[in-house]
Amino acid sequence: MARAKNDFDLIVIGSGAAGGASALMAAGAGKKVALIEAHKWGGSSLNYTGVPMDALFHATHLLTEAAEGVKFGISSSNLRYNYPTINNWKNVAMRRAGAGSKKAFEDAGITCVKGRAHFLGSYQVGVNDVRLTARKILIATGAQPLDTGIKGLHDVNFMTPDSILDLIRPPRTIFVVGAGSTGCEVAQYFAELGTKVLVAEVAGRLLPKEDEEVGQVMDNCFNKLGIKVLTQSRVVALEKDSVSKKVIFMRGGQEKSVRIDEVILCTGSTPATDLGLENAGIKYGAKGIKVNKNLQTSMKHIFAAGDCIGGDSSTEKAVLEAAVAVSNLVHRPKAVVEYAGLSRITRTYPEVASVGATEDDCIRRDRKIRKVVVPLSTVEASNTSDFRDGFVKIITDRNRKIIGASIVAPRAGILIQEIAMAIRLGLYASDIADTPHIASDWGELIRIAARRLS
Amino acid sequence: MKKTKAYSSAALKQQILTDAKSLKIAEHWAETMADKTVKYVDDWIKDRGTVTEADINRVVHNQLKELNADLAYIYKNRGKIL
Repeated sequence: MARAKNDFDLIVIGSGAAGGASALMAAGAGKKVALIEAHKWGGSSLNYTGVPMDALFHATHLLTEAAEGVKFGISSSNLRYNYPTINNWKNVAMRRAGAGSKKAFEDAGITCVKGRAHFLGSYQVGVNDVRLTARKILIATGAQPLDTGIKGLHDVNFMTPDSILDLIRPPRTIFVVGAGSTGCEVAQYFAELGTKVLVAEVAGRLLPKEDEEVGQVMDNCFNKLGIKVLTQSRVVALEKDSVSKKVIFMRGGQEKSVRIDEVILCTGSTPATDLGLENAGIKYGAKGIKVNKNLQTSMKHIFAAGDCIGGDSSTEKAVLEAAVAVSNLVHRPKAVVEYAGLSRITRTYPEVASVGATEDDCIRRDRKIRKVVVPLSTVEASNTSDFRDGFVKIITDRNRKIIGASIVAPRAGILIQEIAMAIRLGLYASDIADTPHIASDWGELIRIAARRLS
Repeated sequence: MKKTKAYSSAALKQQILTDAKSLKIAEHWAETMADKTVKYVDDWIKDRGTVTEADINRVVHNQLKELNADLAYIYKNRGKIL
C-alpha cells in the first residue's frame, strides 16, 4: 500500500548536535526521516554557542598572545583589531560548517520541515498546519535560556551569549551575570577587546562547577586583564539609566549598583520541553524529559537526546547520545549511553578542561581519593613559552585508578583527552606514568602528575 | 481525526470571564486576569500551527495559578469536574 506523504519511519524534532546527527545516521540506515527545526538549521552549536564563539575567541586570544610578543623580541606596539573583520571571519567559519543550511540534510534524503513542532498525539506531530506521523520519534529540542528572576528584564535591553554575534562593535563597559563556563568565556572575550568588564557570580568563585584551584587561577588571569570579579554577588534587578543601564546586586548583605553600557546574562539554560509532551503521554520535569538508560521516554517508541534531557550542556554529550538513540531507534533498544570519559571545556586563555569526578564531587559523596596538582612551571614548555598560569590535577581512587582530572593550560582541550581515555579504559596512574611523553610539550605535566600519584 | 476549529482570543476571554463569574470573582479583577491570560496565550500560540484544547487549558492554568488559585483549578481540571 502506498505510504501517505506525511508518514515517516522517524521524526526528529530539532536539527542541532543531537537531532542533526541522529537524522543523518537514521537516513544513512535507509529510514524515511522527517527533520523539524523551529529556528536555524544546525541548532545552537553551529549557529550560536559552538562554531561562531570558537571563531571569535580564536581571534581575541591571538590578540592577547600577540600583545605578549614583545618579551620575545616581537614588536606589538602598533597592535590593533578591526571588529568587522573579526565578525566576518566568524561568518566564514559558520558558512564552512554549514550553519543555517539544510542542504546536508536534504542531500541525505531527509525531509526538512521548518516550523515549531507540537505533539498532537503519541504518533502525531503538528508543524504549522501540517500533521506528520511516524512509528518512532526522537526529541532533540535542546535548551532555552533560564528564567533568572531578575526584576526589570522586560524594560531593559539585555544581551545573551547569542546576541554577541550581532554586535557591530564591542561596548565600552559590560556587566556579565554568571561566571560559569560561558560567562568566563564571554567576560574574557570582551576584556581582550578592550571593554571594561565586571562579572558577577552567586557562588564563591569563578567556574563554580570546577574545583577550587581552577577558580583561583582564572581569578588571577582575569585580574591581569583588568576584569573586576564580584563573587558571592546576586544580581536582583536591572533598570534603565538614560542611555545606560543600572545593575543592582546584593553583595555581603548590602545592595549595590553600578552603571554600565551593556548587560549580558550567562546564567545557564533549561531544557526546552514546551512542545505538547502531555498530549503524547511523555513524562518530564524541570530537569528535562525523563528517559531510561536506552534514552527511551515514558512512551517506548519516543526517544530523547541532547540538552532536552538535562545534564551538562555540550555538543559532545549530545552527539554521544545521538549515536545511542539512533542505534536503539533503528534496532531493538539495547545500547546504553556510557558517559565515562566525557570531557568538559571552557575556551578561555588558558583553556580549562576537565573530565570525570571533581574533588568537590568526591567530598560530597564522602569518597576517599588521592590527588595531585602539578603547576605548569614544572615543565620545559612553561619555560620556553614563559607561560605559567595553570596546572594539571589528577584524582584517583584509593587504588590509584584514575577517576577525574582538571587541566588549566594552553590546549587543555587536547591534553584532557589522554585522561578521558584513561578513565574510559579503567587505567591506573602507573599506566600513564609508564608511558613516555614528549618532554618539551605540555603533555609531560600529565606524566609527572601520574608519576607522583603512582 | 478530530475536528479542528480556529483559536479565538475573544472566545477564550469570554470563557475565562464566565468561569470567573461562576466563582463570584469581582468583575474588574476578572477582566484584568482575563486580559493578562489571553495575552499570554496569544504569545504562546502565535508560532504553533495546531494545538489541542488540553494545551490551551494547561497554558491558561499556568498563567492563572499566579493570579487566582480557584480559577486556575477549573482550568487544570476542565472536563473532569462534574
